[in-house]
Amino acid sequence: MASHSLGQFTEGKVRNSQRGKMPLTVDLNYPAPCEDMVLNARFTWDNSQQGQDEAHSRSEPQASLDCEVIDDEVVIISPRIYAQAKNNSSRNLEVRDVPATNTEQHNGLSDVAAQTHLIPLHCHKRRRTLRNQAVLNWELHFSSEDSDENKTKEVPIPELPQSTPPPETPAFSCPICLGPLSEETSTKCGHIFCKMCIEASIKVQHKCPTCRKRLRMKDTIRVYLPTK
Amino acid sequence: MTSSSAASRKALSKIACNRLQKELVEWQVNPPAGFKHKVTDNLQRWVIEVNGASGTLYANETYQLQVDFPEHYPMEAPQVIFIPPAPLHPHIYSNGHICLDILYDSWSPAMTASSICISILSMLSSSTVKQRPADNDRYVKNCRNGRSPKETRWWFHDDKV
Repeated sequence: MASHSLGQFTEGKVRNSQRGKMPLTVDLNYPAPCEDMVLNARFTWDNSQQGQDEAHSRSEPQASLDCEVIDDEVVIISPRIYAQAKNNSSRNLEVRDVPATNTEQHNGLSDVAAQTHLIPLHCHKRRRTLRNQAVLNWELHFSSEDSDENKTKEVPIPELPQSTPPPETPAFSCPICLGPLSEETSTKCGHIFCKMCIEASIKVQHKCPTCRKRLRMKDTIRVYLPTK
Repeated sequence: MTSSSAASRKALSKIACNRLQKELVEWQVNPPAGFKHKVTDNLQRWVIEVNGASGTLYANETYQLQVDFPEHYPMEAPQVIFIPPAPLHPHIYSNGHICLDILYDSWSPAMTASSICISILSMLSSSTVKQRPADNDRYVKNCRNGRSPKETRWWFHDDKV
């Protein structure tokens, strides 16, 4: 467990240093073993967040300019507090717009106060820094897309994949419409039909078209047949 | 008789049309033994030639089946009759109506014209006597105004033939 958490951590550090802008965001001395989970969650959350911001940044290309200023601010914050706040906010994602009054309630607890005071500020900041990352990633993505397109242009695909699928498709057909199964649905007696077909059939007669077992609509279940 | 009832029948639904076209293709690829589909341009009415199976009472005899498909086929059974002269059989009336449960109460949407044909040939083949149903005259008299066999309240009492 301990070695695992360490591994996770170095990975996090590498990621941060790759971004180049804030090499000190993670304090190696700080995390207790139990912190492992939280950090993990944080990194994965960051990833998912990037996707959203990526789309966002396309519509606002000038965001990359703002980031220069913001990144300077980030460096000023001590890494420990940054980690704490980031940690804290990742637990409470919906608290993003917490009003100041809310943080004041916690003032009795000195430790918590130090963190919670940072939440609004930090959230604000992180959102923008992430936008910066997203821009960087977007460029990478863009270039990779480009190369993908080039690849597909070079490779002569056309006729092989088109000629192969037809024999695969008519593997199973619906006994009612005799066509390919659409939204294949099984009865409790194990016979498979199109959803529409079995619904229509049960309306007309309350029995399985194949084995005549008594059947209601609730006795059917949508099934997903393998395609290959 | 039947032509008048067919004329008043509604046209096939799109689902029925698709399914019948598939059945026809399947029939052409893999026709049931002893049957021949007489080609017409009418998808809704099939005329099928039946050859009595060898080794049975109906060997070397040929009959004609008329299959009329309803608007909501296959949710509803087709109307299947022999075009007179109908074979002499304890469950086949002289007007061509066939007393066979799968054509009425026991119809299932998973059945096809092909499977019906096989059932009818099986019914013919398992017959031990060539005779009309006991109530043939009375029944045929009642159907004189061109009533469809689907309107008959059939009583399926004999599962041996």
